[in-house]
Amino acid sequence: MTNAVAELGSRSTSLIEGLGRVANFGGGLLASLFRRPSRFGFFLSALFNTGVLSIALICLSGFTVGMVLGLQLYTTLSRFGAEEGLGAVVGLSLIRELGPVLTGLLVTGRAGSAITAEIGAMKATEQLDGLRMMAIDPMHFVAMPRALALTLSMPLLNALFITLSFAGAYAVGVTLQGLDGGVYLAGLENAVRFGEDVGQSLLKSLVFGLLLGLIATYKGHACAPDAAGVARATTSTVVTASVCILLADYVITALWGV
Amino acid sequence: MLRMIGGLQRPDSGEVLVAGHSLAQKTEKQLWPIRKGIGMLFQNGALLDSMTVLENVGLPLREHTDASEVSIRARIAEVLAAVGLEDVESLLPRELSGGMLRRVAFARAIVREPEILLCDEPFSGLDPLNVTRIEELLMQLNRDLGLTIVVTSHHMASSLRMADQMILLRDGGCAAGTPEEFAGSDDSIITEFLGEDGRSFLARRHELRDRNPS
Repeated sequence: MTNAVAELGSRSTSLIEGLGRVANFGGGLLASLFRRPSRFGFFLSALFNTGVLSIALICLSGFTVGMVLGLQLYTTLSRFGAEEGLGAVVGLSLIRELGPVLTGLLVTGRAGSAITAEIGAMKATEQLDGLRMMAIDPMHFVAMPRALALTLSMPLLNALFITLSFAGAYAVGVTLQGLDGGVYLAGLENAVRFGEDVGQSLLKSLVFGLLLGLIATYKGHACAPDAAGVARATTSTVVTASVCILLADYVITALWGV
Repeated sequence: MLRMIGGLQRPDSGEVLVAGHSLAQKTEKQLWPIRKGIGMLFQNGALLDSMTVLENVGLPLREHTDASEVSIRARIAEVLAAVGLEDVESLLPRELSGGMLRRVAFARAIVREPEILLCDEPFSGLDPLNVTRIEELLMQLNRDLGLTIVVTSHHMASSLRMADQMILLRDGGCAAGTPEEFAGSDDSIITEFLGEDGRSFLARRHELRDRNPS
């Protein structure tokens, strides 16, 4: 019994310590954002790695998710004779929830894990210490451009995901099932309010990107400098970031108001 | 030990003094001006593997000096020639052999002409030719530029040839002395550690002394 209490206590303190370290790291990242030189070249190459190289995955997933939604919803809605509601349901569910969350999870797996692994491997091979010995701050040189790239590419990938899934739903609902194209698009257009829904979607994906950028770079920097440590850190990034994205999604939805 | 001199790790107790500065209480930022005067050669090179040799070696210059691109190029070519490498500028670290990698890392460590050079096991995993080459390079830097060089090594023959002062670390204790004192020592641990290298070093010293009695 005492053991369990002690265990709980030490778990809690180490959790709070960890949160403190992440906050400290985040503060450092923020400060290094405004330091000279701007590291714009590194930012661009990180943007290419996280953003451009994720495009194929995002397009494919978006289109498939749209197709599945189109099929499921069309079948269900037509049972009530309400298939003209397809555009509205697809539009709202994708823009508000599915787009940002699925993009967040996909980018976590595709780019966040890669960034943790890269930084972790740099630490394991003393490259980060090498930078420190040259009086170069690894936070400014390595972490900041990557975190910024993740943060900014997330809303863009989210928009791409949503657009492609509209096309996927159109392909199934209109082309295959025979719903009128004009009805689908009109339903979509009438249901979605730009400021409310699209704004919320972009805010969500920006926050998810920020969380992922912070978690992925922090886990890389904090990882144990060996192969097993890099593996653990990479897994931990995917798990932590996924959970944080889902929690943040609920919080934003609740605060924004449905 | 080298990591403590560089301020990468803090001592559990005691003090580290580098060029008169105590490192123990310094923040990372306060260490930067001191580190700018230190070059460090890591055991595995620690070159940035996403950058070419040219970018790696030029990095300290690009970060900390306002030198023009032309003079940076010239300086890079100069240090690469000093370590006996040419036509490697556009290669990535993974395309280099172990010895070449070590020499590129060496070039990066000396490119800003530091006052102190820290070398972590510079000879491990190298063939005898490369050992001699690196050894000569270190001696030459010490002679020509008056660089202070700290080397950790298990390579006793090189250490005896190069060092002015040696420190033997074992089980948390240490012994210090000149190579002559070490080679002539009666201490069983020291003689055991130096082994054949110690005896041949001493024999060679005696031979030289006999030849030049002055």
